[in-house]
Amino acid sequence: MTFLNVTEIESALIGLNNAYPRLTQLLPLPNPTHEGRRSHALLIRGNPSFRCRPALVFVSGVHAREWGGPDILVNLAADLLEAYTANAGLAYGAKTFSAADVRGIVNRTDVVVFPDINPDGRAYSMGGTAGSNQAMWRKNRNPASGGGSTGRAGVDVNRNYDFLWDFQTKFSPSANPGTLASADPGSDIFHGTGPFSEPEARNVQWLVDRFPKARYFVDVHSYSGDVLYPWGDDENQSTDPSKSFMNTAWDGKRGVSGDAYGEYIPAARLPEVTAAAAVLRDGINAVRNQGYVSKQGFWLWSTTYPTSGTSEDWAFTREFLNPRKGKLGGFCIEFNRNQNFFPSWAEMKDMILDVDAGLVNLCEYATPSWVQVILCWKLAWWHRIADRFLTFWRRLFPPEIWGPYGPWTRIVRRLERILERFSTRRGG
Amino acid sequence: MTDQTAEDSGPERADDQFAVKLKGNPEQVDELLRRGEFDIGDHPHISDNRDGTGWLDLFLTSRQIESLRAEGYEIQVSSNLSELARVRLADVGDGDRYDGGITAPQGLGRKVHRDTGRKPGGPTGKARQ
Ligand SMILES: [Zn+2]
Repeated sequence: MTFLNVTEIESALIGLNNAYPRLTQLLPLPNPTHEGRRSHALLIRGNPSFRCRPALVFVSGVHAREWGGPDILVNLAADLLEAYTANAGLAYGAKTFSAADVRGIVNRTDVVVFPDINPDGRAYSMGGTAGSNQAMWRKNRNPASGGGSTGRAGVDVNRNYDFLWDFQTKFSPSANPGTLASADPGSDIFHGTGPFSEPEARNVQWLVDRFPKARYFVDVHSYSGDVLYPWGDDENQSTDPSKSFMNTAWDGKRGVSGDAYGEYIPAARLPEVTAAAAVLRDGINAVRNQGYVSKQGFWLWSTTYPTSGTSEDWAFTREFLNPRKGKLGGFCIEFNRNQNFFPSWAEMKDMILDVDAGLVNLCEYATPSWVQVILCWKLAWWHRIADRFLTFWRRLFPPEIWGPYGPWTRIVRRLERILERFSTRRGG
Repeated sequence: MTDQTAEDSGPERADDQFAVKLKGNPEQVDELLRRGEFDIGDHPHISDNRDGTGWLDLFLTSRQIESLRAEGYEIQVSSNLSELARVRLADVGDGDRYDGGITAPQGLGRKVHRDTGRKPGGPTGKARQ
């Protein structure tokens, strides 16, 4: 085995769907890339009748040169499906999951993997001829925003999501311009021509929107050995809800630490987010003690790393923009503790085990307990009973007759008026 | 620049990027990031020296290394990452091992069957319960 090429990533997903047709669905992403490639995601769903199933959406491959991300997610899907089918547990180094854990994950959650967001970029990075420097390519391969010039092609898809995308308006002029994003097509962090201008980012948006019960979104990158959680634009604060990405009054003031602005995260929500990041981190470290750390994306050592338009921040906006949609935590894993985008395959195999242990750990954490499952069924049962009662009641007392505009109400009103007139006369 | 890891990957190019560590304090690191002209990786990595300085990971060309050294920065060069990448291209096939989906990949995680117990390599669980 070696690194999966772009064709093999797609074939692997199709192969898993063919091998496990009753446990998986192949989801074709709607937007072809600039070079016309079509991508797929794979949904693992063991028990379609369970309605309270939370979804976990795992994506990777957005940055072309970060080799190995897609391999991690393809491997994760293969492991869960093989173990479930064999009624087996899973072991990643010293980290183990029981057969019951695996059954719980497959039967009671939706696990969605989209391993290769940016196949054009990956094909370019992996297709370098002898002597070229293509492997270091990071962005997609959009030729248009750079005016067709090869040296200025490509958009950083992880600056293209709709989260404070317009960094020139949304952030303070003092915020670090070298990390936020760039309006220069030649830059490695060029953010495109508008939020979601890129088909790769729109595919992720489509996928996440398809799962209203998504609770966790994880974007797998390399390298550094970090598990990052929101927010990425400014320091977190839980005291002033008006200091929010949604409030244009704070435009031009974001991205600097120690000033008036901090991005709002409710006090009850922050521990939930950090706990999920810790679950990812601990799962990874349990394999062979690699020392991954979890931290807020905004911070970099004793300084800051403000960003706009990243996937994990965008995913996290869902619950703020529409609280009825439910909570969705956004995370980013930077796998590999070494300064290298191109590990040897032997090193990569170890890292696949590390990261998959973290992801399975999060799946297990998200799996509803039996109490929740019973409550869900009971709730569904009560809903059904209430529905039936309502149908029966409406048949007995049709609203068109008994409702406020029905003839019965009109008769009652008329009678009331006659009685009223009668009583007024008597009273007068 | 020399590199220990690269073998037959062709001659070094002027735009080859070296994995380097640059020593700086928080203000210097912030200023270097602000320039926006250096490849800082993904979410950058810094190892703390616990003396107010840290080693910032960067990917620099020979010319950038020279110019930053001329500014007084201490820089340690780890490897020529561009050259290493060219070597690694040998680890990427151009075929399709799954034949368009006729075969499925096998996961690398170990499948632990009940009769082997939860601990990998342990004796049979049932007999000992
Ligand atoms: Zn990345």
